[in-house]
Amino acid sequence: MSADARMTARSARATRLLTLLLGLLWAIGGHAAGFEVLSAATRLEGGVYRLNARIEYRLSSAALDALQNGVPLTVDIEMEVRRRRSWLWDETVYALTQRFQLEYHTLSRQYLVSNLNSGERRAFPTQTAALEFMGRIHDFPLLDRSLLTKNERYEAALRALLDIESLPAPLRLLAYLSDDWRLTSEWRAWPL
Amino acid sequence: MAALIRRLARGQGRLSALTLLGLLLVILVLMSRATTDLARFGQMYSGLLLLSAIGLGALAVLILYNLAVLIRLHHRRAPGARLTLRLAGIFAALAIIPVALVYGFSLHFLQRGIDSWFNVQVDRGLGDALELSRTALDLRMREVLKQTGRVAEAVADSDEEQAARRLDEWLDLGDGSELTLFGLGGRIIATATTDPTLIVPDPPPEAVLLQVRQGRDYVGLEPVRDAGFQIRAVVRTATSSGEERLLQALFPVTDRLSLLADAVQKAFDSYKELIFLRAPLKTMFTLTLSLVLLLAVLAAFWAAFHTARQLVRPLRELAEGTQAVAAGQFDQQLPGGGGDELGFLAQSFNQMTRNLAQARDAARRGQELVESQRAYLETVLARLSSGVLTLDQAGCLQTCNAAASQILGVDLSVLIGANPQRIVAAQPVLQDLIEAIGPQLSAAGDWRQEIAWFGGAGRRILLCRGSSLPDTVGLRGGHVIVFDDITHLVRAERDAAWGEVARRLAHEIKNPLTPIQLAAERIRHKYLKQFDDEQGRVLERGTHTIVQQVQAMKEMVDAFNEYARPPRLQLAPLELNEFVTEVLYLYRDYPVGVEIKLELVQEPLPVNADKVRLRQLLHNLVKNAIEAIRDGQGSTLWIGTGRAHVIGADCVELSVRDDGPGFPDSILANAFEPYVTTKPKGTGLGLAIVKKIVEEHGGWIQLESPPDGGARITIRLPLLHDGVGLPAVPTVPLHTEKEAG
Repeated sequence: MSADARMTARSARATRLLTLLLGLLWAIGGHAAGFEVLSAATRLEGGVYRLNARIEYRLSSAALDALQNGVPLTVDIEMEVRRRRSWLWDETVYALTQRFQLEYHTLSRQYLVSNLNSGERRAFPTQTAALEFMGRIHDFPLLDRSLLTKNERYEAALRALLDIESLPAPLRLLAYLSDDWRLTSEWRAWPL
Repeated sequence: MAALIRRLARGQGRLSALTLLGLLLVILVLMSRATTDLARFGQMYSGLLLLSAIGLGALAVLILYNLAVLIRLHHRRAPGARLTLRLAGIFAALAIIPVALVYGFSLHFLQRGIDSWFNVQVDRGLGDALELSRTALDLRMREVLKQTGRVAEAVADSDEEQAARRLDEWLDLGDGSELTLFGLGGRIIATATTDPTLIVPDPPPEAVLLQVRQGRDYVGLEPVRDAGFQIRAVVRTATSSGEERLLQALFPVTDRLSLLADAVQKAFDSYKELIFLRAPLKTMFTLTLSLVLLLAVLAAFWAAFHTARQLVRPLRELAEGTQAVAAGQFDQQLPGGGGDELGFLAQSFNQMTRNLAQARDAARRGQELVESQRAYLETVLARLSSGVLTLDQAGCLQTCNAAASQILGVDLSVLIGANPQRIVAAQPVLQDLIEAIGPQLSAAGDWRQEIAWFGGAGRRILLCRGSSLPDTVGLRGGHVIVFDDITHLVRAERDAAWGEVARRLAHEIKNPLTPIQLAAERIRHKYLKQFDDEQGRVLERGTHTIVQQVQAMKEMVDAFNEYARPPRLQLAPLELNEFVTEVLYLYRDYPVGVEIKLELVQEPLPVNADKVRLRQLLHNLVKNAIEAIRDGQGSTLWIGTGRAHVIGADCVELSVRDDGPGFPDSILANAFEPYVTTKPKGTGLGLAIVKKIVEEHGGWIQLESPPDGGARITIRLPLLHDGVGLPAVPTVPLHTEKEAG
């Protein structure tokens, strides 16, 4: 075997190892705690933009632990409509926050989800079902079209985050300082 | 910001600092409330935490700035900085030790206190109570499930209308709140509800549907918003045709059981949350306590700095004041402190500086008074025509006035402080005077002496009066000598006396002379013819001698008259060089064997003089000199003119010098007196008349015998400035003196 061939084989093996490591990292990263907007889109129906979105909530072990011990978690779903500007930062023309509170009811062993905006509350026998419910936005009336100026470019954006300020005070300082509690998703934006 | 910190650091912004402290206190109180009463103040906690951190940071910056300034001052050795630093350190240490103790114990109690909230038995008891509630509710749920099953059986085969009616009947019989029959795919076949406002029935969750479809009936307890629970039961049934249907029944649990169960649930939940939050809670309490500690410590530090500065400020001012006093500034007044010892000290210091300033002012006034008196005395002495000298006990010259210098012809002011030896060394002319006065100084008491002294201006007669000074404060003994130049006075007296004598002699002698002459001529005329030749010759010779001698006596008497005659000067400006040349022209051939040499300066020498008298003067001098030369072995007569500056006045000098025998010492002393002569044929009036003429012109005359032989007479007359006649000063007083005499 020539030296060149040996070198090629060694570099190939190294490349495979690197790929594996990267893949592993991606896998861990993929399952790491955090919120993620899986999909988001609007459709125009009767002059109103209606929002459909799916959000995945992967709670960290610390958050799960707190939930099991009777600490309610508040999740904010922030929606924004921005006017695109070519030479300045975008202008936020409309902002809306949907707040959900998730708590565990020990006696009934139910997970309760409250929509803090509407006051509606629903009980779910499993945590997955509760998170599924919170993560599905179906035909949410976002904005009346008449409020937007014509011939301007607009985009809508969405993100979800855990509201640390709603945690009990003793937890708050820890939550601000710890990565376990920083469960904010990236903004997902799309043109209107 | 920096300015604010500086102001605060200097203690000027005490109000701002106190406000900051107060704000921090309020924040910390709110924070402690937030810690203990989470429900009400919990929302503010993060904001409060941030605010207090900022406030404490500001306070810390303030204190660090204070410390930095103080350390810099200390390095610069500013007054008071060291003491301030030390006091601040002591105060801070005093404050920090108890605070730290309290903090330690509080922390300990806090940990123990929070731990003591939790108890295994309480934990287990609550768990059991929850289980009990659950069991009790389970019974109920099973009943509900059974009942729902029965209803499902009953409505399984009904069509929609029947089903709705039956459901209503069942709802009336039982205590359910809602019965809904779902068809395939969740389609609502029929529903019955006790709530007339409800239009759409509450559908079961997806998970429940899935479970029921798999053949397992579902019964579950759900908390209701306000209070209590509802039981949701979902059972699967099928129509006779095999179509699947689901019946959901909702039963509210509203009796006492539900209330109790709710209470148990809430207690359990909060207890569980508390246990979960135990560690964060401890952290939070510790944090709050630490912030309070920090506030206390920082406030104590600030107070320490402030107090130390307040305490040291009067001391520093006192130190600065003392330095100012040491530098001679007595107008420094310290701000009056409080009623404490430092205030008393400041008042005493102020009193002291006031007294010092007054003393200094008084001393200055005294000095000014002494100066003015001294100036007054000096002015008086300067105006005095008498010379005044003071000598100390060693004979050193202490003071002199201008008249003293003028009379003696010597600048005495440069000799002040000199002893007699040095004075003689500097001014040899004063030797005779000092020797004459010397014996009087050794005797105490007043004395008076007339001293004849040869100074630069010739022979002078000084009337000296002396007195020894008392040895008292400010006067260390010594002598004061007052003297007047009475030369003119004495001469005037003498002149007057001589004048009188001359007039009388002239009168008494001249009267018999003419009869004697006439008688002699008559005897010759009458008896010459009668006598023979021999007798006639004797008579002739005798009478001739008588007449000749009488004639000589007449001339002598006329000369006396001339001398005694009061002067009638006719002064007019004349040029001395021209005048001398003109007068001496007459002598160009006359003196056989005598050579006359003129030594005239090449500049005009104007004088104000009586031409006739001046010519007489010059004739007398030249004649005198020629006679002297003829008597001796000399051959040359020098006549010179020049300018001189003597005792502050410009003079014209005329000198006549010969190489004759000169004046003997015995004559030199009073050569100008009448009838003093060396010549066998002289009247003795020549030089006396010369001197008289000189004095009539306000000049003075000096006679000397130079060591290389001969004689020299120097005459000085006042120079006529720019043709303006100077008054012949001595002339007038001479007259008055004469008339007075």
